[in-house]
Amino acid sequence: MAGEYWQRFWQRRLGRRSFLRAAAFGAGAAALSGTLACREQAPQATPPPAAGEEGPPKRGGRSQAWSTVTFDQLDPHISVAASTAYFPRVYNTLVSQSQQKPDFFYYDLAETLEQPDAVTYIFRIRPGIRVAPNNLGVPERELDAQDAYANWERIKNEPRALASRFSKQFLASHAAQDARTYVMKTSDPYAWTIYNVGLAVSTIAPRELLANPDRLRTAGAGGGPFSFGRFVEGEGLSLERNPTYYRKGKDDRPLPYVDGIDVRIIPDRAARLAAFQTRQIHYYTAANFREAQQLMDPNNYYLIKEPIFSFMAVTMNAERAPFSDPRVRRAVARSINHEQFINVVHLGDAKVNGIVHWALGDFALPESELKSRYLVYNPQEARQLLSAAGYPQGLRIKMMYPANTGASGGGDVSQYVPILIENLRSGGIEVEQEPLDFGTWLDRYRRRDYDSSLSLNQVYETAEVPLDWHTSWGPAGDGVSWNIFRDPEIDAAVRRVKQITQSVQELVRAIHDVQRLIYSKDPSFIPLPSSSSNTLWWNFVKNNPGRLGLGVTALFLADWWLDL
Amino acid sequence: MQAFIVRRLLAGVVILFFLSIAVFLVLRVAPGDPALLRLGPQATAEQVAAERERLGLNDPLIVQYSRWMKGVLTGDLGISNFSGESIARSIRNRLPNTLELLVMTLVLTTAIGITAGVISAVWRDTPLDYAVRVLAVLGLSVPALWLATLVLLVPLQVWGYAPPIGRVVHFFDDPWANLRQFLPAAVVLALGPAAAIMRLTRSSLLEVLRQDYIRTARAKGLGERLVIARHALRNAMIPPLTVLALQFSALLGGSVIIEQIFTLPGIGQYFFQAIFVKDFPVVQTLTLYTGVVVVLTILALDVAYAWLDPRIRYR
Repeated sequence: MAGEYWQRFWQRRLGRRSFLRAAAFGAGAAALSGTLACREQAPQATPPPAAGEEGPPKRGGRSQAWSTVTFDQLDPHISVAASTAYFPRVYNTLVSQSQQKPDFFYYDLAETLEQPDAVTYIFRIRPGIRVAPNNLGVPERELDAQDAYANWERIKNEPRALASRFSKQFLASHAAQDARTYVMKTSDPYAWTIYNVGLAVSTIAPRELLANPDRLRTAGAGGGPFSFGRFVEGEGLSLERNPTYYRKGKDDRPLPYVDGIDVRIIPDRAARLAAFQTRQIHYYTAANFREAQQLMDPNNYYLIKEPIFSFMAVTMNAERAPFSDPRVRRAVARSINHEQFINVVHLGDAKVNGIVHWALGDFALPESELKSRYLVYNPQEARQLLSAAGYPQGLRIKMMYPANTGASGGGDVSQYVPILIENLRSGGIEVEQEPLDFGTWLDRYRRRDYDSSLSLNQVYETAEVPLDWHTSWGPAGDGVSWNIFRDPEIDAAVRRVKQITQSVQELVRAIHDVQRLIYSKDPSFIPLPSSSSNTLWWNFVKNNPGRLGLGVTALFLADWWLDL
Repeated sequence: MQAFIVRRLLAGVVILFFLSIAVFLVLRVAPGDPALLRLGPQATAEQVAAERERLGLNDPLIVQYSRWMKGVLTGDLGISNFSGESIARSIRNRLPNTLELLVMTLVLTTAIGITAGVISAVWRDTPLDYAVRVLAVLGLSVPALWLATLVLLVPLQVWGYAPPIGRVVHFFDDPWANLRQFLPAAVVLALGPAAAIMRLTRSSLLEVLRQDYIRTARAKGLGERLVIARHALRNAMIPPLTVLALQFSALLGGSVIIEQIFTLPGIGQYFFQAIFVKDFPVVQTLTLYTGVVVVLTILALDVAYAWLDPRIRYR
């Protein structure tokens, strides 16, 4: 590469004519881009053609991936950082249900799932899933129901396990009935059982590995398409192809097609862009659609747009005055101009969020209903509400937020703050800002030590947690942390929703109804609009799982290839 | 001289003791819960309490401090709260990257700064002097963050070139790739200090060149090159040496921004990540490590002064 670089450098001779030509071209391009910038529209995704149109799969090559944050460790049940995205590449899930396309089930370690009643789940373990060759002392045997049992037992008993909330609250019992049958029983019918079973942090590692947590922390091999290879804390991770992976591609050849995956930690955006354009990494997530549009080169890249499952929210502490008064909460809601956030922060490439965010598709309330009934910007009404609540001269509130942080749902927190302050001022509410470092903000937020907050939120791939924000048990489910809203009617309605296990349509309807109920109580947690991610991929990456829009479930797929 | 060194080392131990107490207390007084940051926002109160217990954060402060100090004094730097990885091993993994960056930066700083300073002083008030001084002002005023981004993006836009990013190539595996990776970062780090050294070298050399012994050297017929190289430059080196030494100690603690941008996993990046997640053992240990480096560097500097200028004597 270096030789080519110097060769190109010396070949560049700049004459007077070429200089003038370049200057004229530059001026023309600047004028044209200026004109276009005034009329730009969010680009549509240009997904790659379906597998059949991309030619026969090719074997070999290494996928080059990146992460902005470091890997803390490789324990599939405990890790909270970048590695969680790679557990589905190494281990197996029993079955994963896409929340974006709830009809899509990916059967992995379980080949079938029976549900004889609302609380019983019988997983029939697939024969022939063998542990990848390894030097960890784990025998290359077939995984069985005992492995599923050992993993869920660990998840249940390990206080740091990320899926422990499900196992503690809902998992009443579980057992390996025989080598091929694993049975789970929940204490109550629970709508998101399969979702929790299919999480990346609920994957099934060989039970011998669980007996050695120190080894599990830095290495791993299971029945997934890859094994963990080199892991250097702070630098990156490599995964190597599992030659005995059980699944085959459409051409009947064993998967995965690529020899491995290298993951680098690249925190800086400019560095990521440089690495992408020089093919050191195979994809790049643009800051927003405008950057994606500027970089887009159809001869080299394709664009995959995916909804972002996190969002910013305005949170009011309903346990404290003045937010204990529903009229004040409604005044805040009426002062927020959601369209302005869409246009300024997200450059038009975003949608309004109701209680359940738009990324969750059918589970979210229709946009038209939200805009016409619940997300109405009406500062006059806000002032009237404040006056009725005893604040005829308006109100002064304190609002904390994590400063110098990327925002959930796109943009940057610093872009949200001035708009929000201006919005609230239009409704008669003056904001006293409390910018905090992330750790301090999180600590105070969790302890409810604040009046109001502009808040980051995690990725919510189901409607459960967004609804839990409005219950007395709160999003952590413990009734202590975070929760700021207590209403028995909402609690009962959300409980009913959680018990719907038989029909997706019924679940959708019930989630809509409970959102309407929450809005009727003037909620203290108001989600702001969120955007889509705009990821450019080199077009030699074929059959990209990202094109399917399956969310986390796509991480289990291993049938992409590199046409290098 | 030996007594001086021993005295300074003892004083250094006292300084480090107070530094250890200060960093230990500041971390615990500052708001923010490391257990919560470790577990993430979805953690329940019960999980956070269990994690605090596991990390020993519920123990009395004196117990926590004693545990840490005992570890440091016995060579056990402890375990990162965030990754569970041995801190000593993480430092060992990252130190070579930081050291390589440091060596390159110091070589560039010295070469550019002193050469430009001498040129500027010898050809004082000529166009060459003005040009060098303008460049020095630029070097001092351009922020490293912005310059680093330019160093990445301009070659990318013009030649489609970028250095290897995100994976460290070791010098002995592939020297050329290693230089392509570290050199741009070293250049960015070196420009500011090189400009400072250039200005110090220039003013210091001009002052020395006005001294009587320089006139004597010229009067006895020594060539100008010899006068400058042998008689003037050595005595003019004390102020630039101070800047170099301070840069050395700062760089040995890692360069947070440059390591982040050029994705060089060094001590600075480790420090930055640890502060962000309130990884107490890592922040404490790295602060103490930086303190040791500064104390030893300043001691070495004082010794070097005496070597450079025979008039300086320590008692």
